[in-house]
Amino acid sequence: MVKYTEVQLNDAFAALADPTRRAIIARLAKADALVTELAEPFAMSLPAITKHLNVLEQAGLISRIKEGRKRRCYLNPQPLKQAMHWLTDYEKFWSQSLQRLERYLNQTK
Amino acid sequence: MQTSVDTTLTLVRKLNAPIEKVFDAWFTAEALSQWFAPQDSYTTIVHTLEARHGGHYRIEMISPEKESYIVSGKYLEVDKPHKLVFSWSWDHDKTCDSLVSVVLTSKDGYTELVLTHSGLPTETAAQLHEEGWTGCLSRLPQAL
Repeated sequence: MVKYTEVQLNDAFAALADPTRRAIIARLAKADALVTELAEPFAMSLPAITKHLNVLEQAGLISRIKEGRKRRCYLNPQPLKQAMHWLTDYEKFWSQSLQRLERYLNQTK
Repeated sequence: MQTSVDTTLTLVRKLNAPIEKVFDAWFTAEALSQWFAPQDSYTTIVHTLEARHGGHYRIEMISPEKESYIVSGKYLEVDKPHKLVFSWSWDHDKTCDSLVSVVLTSKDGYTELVLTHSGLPTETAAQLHEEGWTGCLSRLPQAL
């Protein structure tokens, strides 16, 4: 019985609840891109796309790096992956320990 | 860019024993050494267990290959026999520092245990380097 109350996961899912942002992630999964390149297919203004990018960046899903006057965006899947790893490993550790606790309690009745 | 990752794991168990006995199993060296290990093949030595608020604990788990894993911390909240909160830190990797809380509730004929392991302090994106994290995590399964 594992309950995940994971802030980063929540942020990530909230960020991905928007179709434009999902499309941006899908686009960045193929290759990194300049902000201007990301804006093109959506017929959006730069400020509008920047708002979406801010949400994605705050959720830790993308990074932006300056290239002269332009900004390049990269997908950053690590926060999600790491959180999942951590939960999985400690879940295993505690499950097995608690199983032993249960056995210990039964044995020493 | 600051990114904080707050990771919380919660496990719930029904234990067929009185609440006092379950609490003592967590809070006495003799009992802990008998069950606190991820696998039967491990040997557990409780080096320190200061059973009081603010007291420290230090527990060593030794694998069949004689590898030693030491976890230590401090009892931050002691409400016998209902609640125990302690910090959690592996000797071999301080990036794993976190917090464990054990809450016990006496139910009809059993004791409910809610274990929460939380607050892995990974505050900056720089700290989120795959290397540091996977190092911390990859060593864990070896201990299991």
